[in-house]
Formats: sequence, structure tokens, C-alpha cells
Amino acid sequence: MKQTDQHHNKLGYTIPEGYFEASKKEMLAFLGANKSSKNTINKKSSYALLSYSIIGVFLVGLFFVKQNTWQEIKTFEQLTIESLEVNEEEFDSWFDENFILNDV
Amino acid sequence: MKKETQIITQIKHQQFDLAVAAISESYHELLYWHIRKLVKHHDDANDALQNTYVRIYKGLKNFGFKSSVKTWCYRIAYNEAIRLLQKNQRLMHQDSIEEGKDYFTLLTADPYFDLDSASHAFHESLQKLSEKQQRIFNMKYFDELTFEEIAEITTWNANSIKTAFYNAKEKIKSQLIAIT
Repeated sequence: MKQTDQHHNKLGYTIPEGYFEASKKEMLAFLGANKSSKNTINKKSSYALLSYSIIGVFLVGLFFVKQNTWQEIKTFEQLTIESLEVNEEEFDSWFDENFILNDV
Repeated sequence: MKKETQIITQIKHQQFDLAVAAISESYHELLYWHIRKLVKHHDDANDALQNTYVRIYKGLKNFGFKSSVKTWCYRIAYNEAIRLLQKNQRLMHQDSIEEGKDYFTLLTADPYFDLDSASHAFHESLQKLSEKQQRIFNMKYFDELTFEEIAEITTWNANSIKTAFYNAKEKIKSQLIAIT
């Protein structure tokens, strides 16, 4: 009060009525609100991190599964192609047997 | 002194919420007036005070116990006020109309300035001091801080503060006598 009077009388500075009581509460409430919003942000970010890691693990798993499937298909195709391949000697003997020898 | 010890104990026990509440209880008004004399306008003082609280709260964790809590809070408030003044100065340079305004026009622009009760002679004599002298005079005369405390807050040399204060006091005295 002494300070307020002195500043008013000498310097002409005034303040809104009940300013100090109101601003004290307001500023402490502001700090409290900032703190709780920070905590909420921290909680939210940890939830987000957890869900991102779950999605990440899922995607990596999916990638490996897909890769394995591709590999299986590739092996199968290779086997199929190999099975269709006819050895040249075998073919020659087969040709000789069925066409040339028959003609003779 | 008792309150200072209580705040220090709370900081040591990491009870920062309680410490800020105790700081507010003890120094709220003092910090406001300290800032107000530097920035002049009530709204600016209110903004700087809010930023001061945020910095106090954030800084409590790293409080080094090298100075008193009171001086530390004053230092934060002082820096916050200077920061706001620099920001306003930059804005004023952009606004050429504002530059032409004189000291009293700027003061009366604030609805919380009572021109009738203000001592014109006191304001005029204050205005004739250098910026440094004004700050030192205000801290010593109105805030009743010691020279050592002012030195800690402003980081100026204690002896130069003493000299500046006595010079300022003499100037104000002689000007007030001349006016009356």
C-alpha cells in the first residue's frame, strides 16, 4: 500500500482496483494451466509414440511376410521353369527314336 | 528474512509450486512497481510481470543459491522489462508518428497514469537524468534496494552505481529547488 501511494503521489502511476490480488491469482493460475497443459502434451505424445511404434512393428512384419511370399513364389516359378526344361541329349534321343528311327 | 528462508527451503525440497506462491506473496507488488517504473505503461508492466513469473518458475530448478531469492527475482524482472522496452523501441522505429511523441504524451497515453496527481517537477527532473541514472535512482529511492543489490540486478559496478546515485540525487534536488 505504501508503495502504491508513493508511486501515485510522486509519479502519478495508478493501477486498476484490486489489481494486485487479481493478478497474483491470475499469474499463479497461468503457471498451473501451463504446467497441466504441458503434462497433457507429454501424455498425448507418449500415446502417439506408442501407437506409431505399434504401426511400425506391424509394417515391418508385413514387409517380411510379403518378402517371404515373393521368395516362395520365385522359388516355385524357378522350379516350374526348371521342370519344363528338357535336356538337349534327352530331346535328341527322343527325336531320333520317334521320328528318324520310325522313318527308317 | 523468514520468508526468504522459507522459500529457500521449498526450493531445496523441490516444492516449486509452493516456492512460486511464496515469492508471489512476498514480492508480487515490489516486482510490479520495479517493472512499471522501467516500462511506464500498466499493460506493458502486466505483460512483463507475467513473463517474469514464467521465467522464475522455469528457473527455480537451476537456482544456484548465489544470491538472495529477492535479488534473483528482481534481476529477472529487470531483464524482462528491458527486453520489452527493446521490443517496443524496435516497433516505435517502424512507426514514425510515435517517434515524435514527447515524454508526457507517452505517459498520458496510459489510462493508468494520473496526470493531476503526478509531480511534474519530479518527472521533469527525472527526465533530465541519463537512462542509467534514472534506473539507479528509482531502484534506490522507490524500491529501497541497497547498492549491492542494484549491482547484482544490473551487473553494473557497485562504486559507479553509488556515484551515479549521488549525482542524480544532487541534480534532482537542485532542479526541484530551482522550480519552487
